[in-house]
Parts: sequence; C-alpha cells; structure tokens
Amino acid sequence: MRITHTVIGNRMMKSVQYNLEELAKAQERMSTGKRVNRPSDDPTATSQIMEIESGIDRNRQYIRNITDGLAWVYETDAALNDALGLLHKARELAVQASNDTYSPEDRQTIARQIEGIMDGMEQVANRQMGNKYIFAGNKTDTKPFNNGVFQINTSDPTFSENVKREIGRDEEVEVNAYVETTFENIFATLASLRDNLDANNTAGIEQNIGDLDNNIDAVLVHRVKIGSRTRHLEALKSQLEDQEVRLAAVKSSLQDSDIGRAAIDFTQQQIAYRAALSAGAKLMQMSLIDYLR
Amino acid sequence: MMRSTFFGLEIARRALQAQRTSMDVAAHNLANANNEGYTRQDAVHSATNPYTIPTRTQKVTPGQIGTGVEVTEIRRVRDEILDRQVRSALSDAGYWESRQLALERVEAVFPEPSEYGLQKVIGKFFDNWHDLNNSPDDLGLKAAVVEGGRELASMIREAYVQLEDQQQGLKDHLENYVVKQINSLAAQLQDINNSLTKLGAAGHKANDLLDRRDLVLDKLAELGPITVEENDADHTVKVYMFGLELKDVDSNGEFVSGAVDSTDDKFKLTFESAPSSKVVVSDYHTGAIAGWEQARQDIKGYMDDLDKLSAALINKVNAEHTANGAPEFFAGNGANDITVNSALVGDPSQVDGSVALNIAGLRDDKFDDLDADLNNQTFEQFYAGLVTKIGADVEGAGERMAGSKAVRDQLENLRQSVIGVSIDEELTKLTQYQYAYQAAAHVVTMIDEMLDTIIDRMI
Repeated sequence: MRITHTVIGNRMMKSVQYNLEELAKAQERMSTGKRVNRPSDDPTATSQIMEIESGIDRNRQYIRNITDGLAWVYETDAALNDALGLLHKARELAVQASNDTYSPEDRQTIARQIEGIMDGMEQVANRQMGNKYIFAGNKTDTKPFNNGVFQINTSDPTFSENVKREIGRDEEVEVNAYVETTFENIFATLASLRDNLDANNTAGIEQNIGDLDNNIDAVLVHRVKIGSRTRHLEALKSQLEDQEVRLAAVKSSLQDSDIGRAAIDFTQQQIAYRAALSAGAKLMQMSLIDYLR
Repeated sequence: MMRSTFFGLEIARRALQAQRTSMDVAAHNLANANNEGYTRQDAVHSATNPYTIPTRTQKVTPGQIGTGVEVTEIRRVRDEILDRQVRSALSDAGYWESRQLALERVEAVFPEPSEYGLQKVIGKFFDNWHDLNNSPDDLGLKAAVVEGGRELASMIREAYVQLEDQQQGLKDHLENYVVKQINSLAAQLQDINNSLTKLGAAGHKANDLLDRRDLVLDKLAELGPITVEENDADHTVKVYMFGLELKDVDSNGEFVSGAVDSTDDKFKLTFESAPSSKVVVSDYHTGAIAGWEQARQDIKGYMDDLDKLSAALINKVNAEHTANGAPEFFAGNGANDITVNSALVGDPSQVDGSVALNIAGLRDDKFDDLDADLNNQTFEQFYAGLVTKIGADVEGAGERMAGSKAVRDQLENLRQSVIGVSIDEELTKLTQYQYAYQAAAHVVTMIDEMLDTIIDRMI
C-alpha cells in the first residue's frame, strides 16, 4: 500500500481520538465508581439493576410497613392484656358477691367497683396509639366506644373491619383485632352484673360469672391471633433485612466498577494514548524537506 | 541522409518544456496536498514521433531516430471501483452515525440507573400510598401522596416533551435541511455536468472539475444510497438516488421534495423525474436520511410506550381511588397531559385513605388489558423494559456505527493511498525533473558551442 502524508495524518487523528475516548470511558468508570452509567453501557445489566433497585425499595417499604404493624400488634396485645386483667378482676368480685354471706349493701358496694371496671374497660376499648384508635377498624380517627356501644357506621363503604399492612408481594396481614362484638358483650355483661348486684339478684350474678368466662375466652382468642402474627412479623422483618443486604451486594456486583481493574484499565489507556501521541508526533515531523538543500 | 543542423536544439527545447510542465504538475500536487477530494495528477511523458531513416544495410526495417519528448496527458490517478465501494461505505456509515447520534440524545432523557430516574419516582409514589395505609386519615400523608403523584406526573410529562422535541427536531431536519442539501448537491452536479460537456466538446479533460464532482457524489452518498453512470466520452454522470434519477427540476428548480406523510407519519421523498412514486425512506437501511428517519420512528415508539405507561397508571389508580366514591386521582389521558386531579391538589383531604392499600398493591400487579396495555408486566417492569430497549438500541447503533466507520475509514485509506499526494514523492519527482531540465539546458549550450564552431570559426 502506498502511504501518503494524508493517510498518516488521518490515522494519527483517528487513533488519538479513539484512545482519548477509551481513556475518558476508563476515567468515568473510575470517578463514578460505576461500570453502568447509562442504559447503553450494558442494557441487560441495566434491566437487572433496575429490577433489583425496585426490589430493594419495595423491601424497605415492607420493612417500614412491618415496623408500623408491629407497633399496632404490640399495642393491641397490651390493650387486650389490660382488658383481661379487668375481666379477671370483675370475675373475682362477682364470685365474692355470689357468696351467701354478703349483704345487699355489700353487693351495692361491689356494684360501684364494677362501674369503676366499666370505666377502665371503656378506656381500654378506646385505646389510642399516637392519635389513632386501635379498636376502630380502619376508622382510626373515630372514637369507637361510647358507654359500651360501638359508634362507627359499619355500612359506610369506606369502612373496613381490618387494618392491613402489606408485608410482601401480594401478602397482607391484619395488624388489628376487631373487637366490636367482643367488647359490646363485655360491656353488656358488666352492665348486667352491676344491675344484678344492685338488685341483689344472686342467680343473675351466677349467670354473669359464666358470661364473664365466655368474655375472657373471647379476648384470649384475639390475643392468641395477635400473638402469632407478632411472631410472624418479627421473623419476616429480620428476613427482609437480611435480604436487603444480599440484594445490595448483587446490585453492587452488577453496577459497580472493580476499582482495581478500572485503575489498571485507566493506566493502560493512558499508555496507549501517550504512545499514539508520541509516535504520531515523531512520524509527522519527518519529511524529505529536511534533507533537501 | 542528413538531419537538419538545428535538429538537436528542437529536442532540447521539447525536453525543457516537458520538464517544466511536469514540475508545474508536481507543484500543483504539492499545493493541493491537504485538499479534501483532490486527486494527484501525473504528467505522462511520451516520446514524440521519430524520423525514419532508411539505411543501406537494413533493407526492410528502417532505423529510427528519436525526436524528443512531449507531455501527452495530465493523468488523474483514480480508481473508479474503489470510488463505488467508498460511496457504499459512506452510505452505511452515514446511516448508523446519524441514528446513533440521535438516539444517544434520547438516552439522556432517561437518567437510569440512578437515584433520580423515573423508576425511583414510581416506587416512591407507591411507597407514599403504603405510608398512607399505615395512617389512613393523616392529612400530612395525604398531601404527600398528592405531591408524589405530581412529581411522577411531571417527570413523565417532562420526558415525553423532550422526546417530542427530539422527534420534531428530526422531522424539521429531514423536511428542511436534508431536502435542501440534496437539491443543492444535485444542482452542483448539474452545473459540473454542463461545464464538462462544453470542455469535452473542446477536447479538454478537466481533472480538477472531476475532483469537485467526485466530492459532491461522496456527500450525496453519505445522505442516501446512490448509483452513478459515467459517460466515457465527456465524463458527465447520471446519478440515481434511492433508485430514482436526479434529473428533472420543478418550477422552483428543485429536484426533490420531501415531507412527513400525515396519514402514516413516515418521511417520504418525491423525485421530480418520477413524480408519482414516493420513496419511503424508512424502508432503506443505508444513508444518513434513513438513519435520521429510523431514529425518529424509534423515538415515536418510545413515546408510545411512555403513553401506555401513563394511561395504565391513570386508569388503574383512578379505578381504585373512585371505588368508594372519592374523586379521580389523576386527570389526563396520556403522557402529554397526565396530572393529579386539581381538586385533590387544592384539598388533599379528599384523598381516600381507605383504598390506599389497594392502590399500593397495584405496584405488584401485572397488566395486559385495554385499560393498561403493559404486555403482562408491572409498571416498573414495563418502564425498565423501555429503558433497556433504548439502551440496547443505542448500544447496537453504536457498535454498528463503529463497524461501518471502520470499513469506511479503511476504504478511504485505500483510496487515499491511490489518489493522495505524497509530499516526499512529489519532492523526489521535482528533483528528478530539475536534473532533467538542467541536462536539457546543457544540451542547448553544447549545440550552441557546436554551431559557434561551424558558423563563426570555419570561415
């Protein structure tokens, strides 16, 4: 092939340009610390990275939902525990009052104590977490019980018995206990007990003790449910936290530059660029003109 | 038989003239060493017709005596087959280069993978609904949901507008600049053809004019596929682009007109020489015009996808949000006009917290219906698919561009090795001609001395 100065010049310009481009790419991989800086750098990896990022993001939201849900179940469990304490106390008083040795006056005194328990029970039924009522279904801004009667309009289309948290893809869990009937029954039993105490009706009181046992069982059923969900949520949370670490590692392996390799690449490109410049500069200087008189 | 006394002088004169002409040609080459498209020229020396001198010993074949030299032709050192190959390579490289450059700009509209892309904002939008579900009556969280929706809507609109601008830019480029350029190049060719006809009639070969013509042909080839038919007698050319001849002009002196057809939104060229047949440029995969048009079609595809994504978001979120009688969450129909319902922006308390979990759950749903034509993918998967497609298109075009440019450069180098001026070579030739000139001058001096002896001193 016949070589002319134009060919040398063109080749020089192209190889210098090419080497400079490669040098800039190596520099970008070094300075951003990332191997994939735009979709065209590696379309397949981009798709995977975006999928993983969305997974990490989703995981974080699930963890947030679970943390919030755990607060609910802890608070609900504590409230139900308080309700149980009050019920046991009421049962104790009812058993005492059913004793034949008690006078009608004694029973009236106990009736006042039962009224105290009813107040306490109403406080439990209207328990708030922050400013949210935990026994109001999803209407957490409405006070659910007033004088032992459920206040919320359950036929409202926006009403739901359940407070749900999404804790995984298409996996929802109820974090509340829906206690409308349970608590209404409790209030009915307590009111009946008080009335029977005032009326000195021992047969009625015996009846109420049986009712209280049923009430205690009903509350226990709620507690067991909440307890098992608590364990599930705690386990899931730690699992998701582990997963996030693993996903982040996979993302990093897809997207991040191997800094050592990037540095070597950069140095090699630098050498190539220098070589192209130096060879070009020397070759361009040479001409027959230098040797003609 | 005796020759004329002054015969040697004539040989020397011819030699002086031929060497001078050759030196001029070499100087012309040197002067044009960096001229794009210049073809080096070569003075072809031939011996002039000899005298035939019959002798007694040679009965049949007469002995000949030379009469000197003349420059019979100033040759243009060119290889027509290489020209054809280079033009085809120019078309290919033009296609991929223009497509890649246009698509690279599109890629910049989608800053992925990063913390600031649309993917992240889609995720954040649904996260807001999760948070609202955790406290369904919290006014602050309702406002956050509205703001998240506005951010998402405005990012989609922004991306769509940028794509639309680029699509429009390419359309303007094709309809105005490209058509003008073809017409201007075709007009130049016609002028050159006219000059060649005149010069040919006068028996001249116009090397520098041919260089100009070949340069124009190269530029035309970059734009679209051309074939060239050269008339051997006067070197005029017939040029066919996309298979149609660039010959006739309309009343405005234009060979070609072009516009985007409003029915199928494709760019079409109409040649005055064949007014009834329209060239659909996107049917070709060579030449910069087809590259721009293909990039424009690609961008329209991306816009359609963005539109589908927006429509799906609007339809699905609205269907869930209005389930219990709340107002629609999004207003608009597609990517160009998606917004959050202004009623909700004014009064975020109208956001229905009781459906928050259902809306948050949409994030994981795959859609493939009339309301949400996402090919059975989630919102995020569909969007990631779009970004991956753009990335793959840019990467593919980049690789094809590098390949086709390498072929073009190699062929250009081969052509340069034939037509290019080598300064060393020309300097060498100049030296050779200089010596020959000096020698011829010496002959003149010698004959002069000889004649001096004969004419002045023999008396």
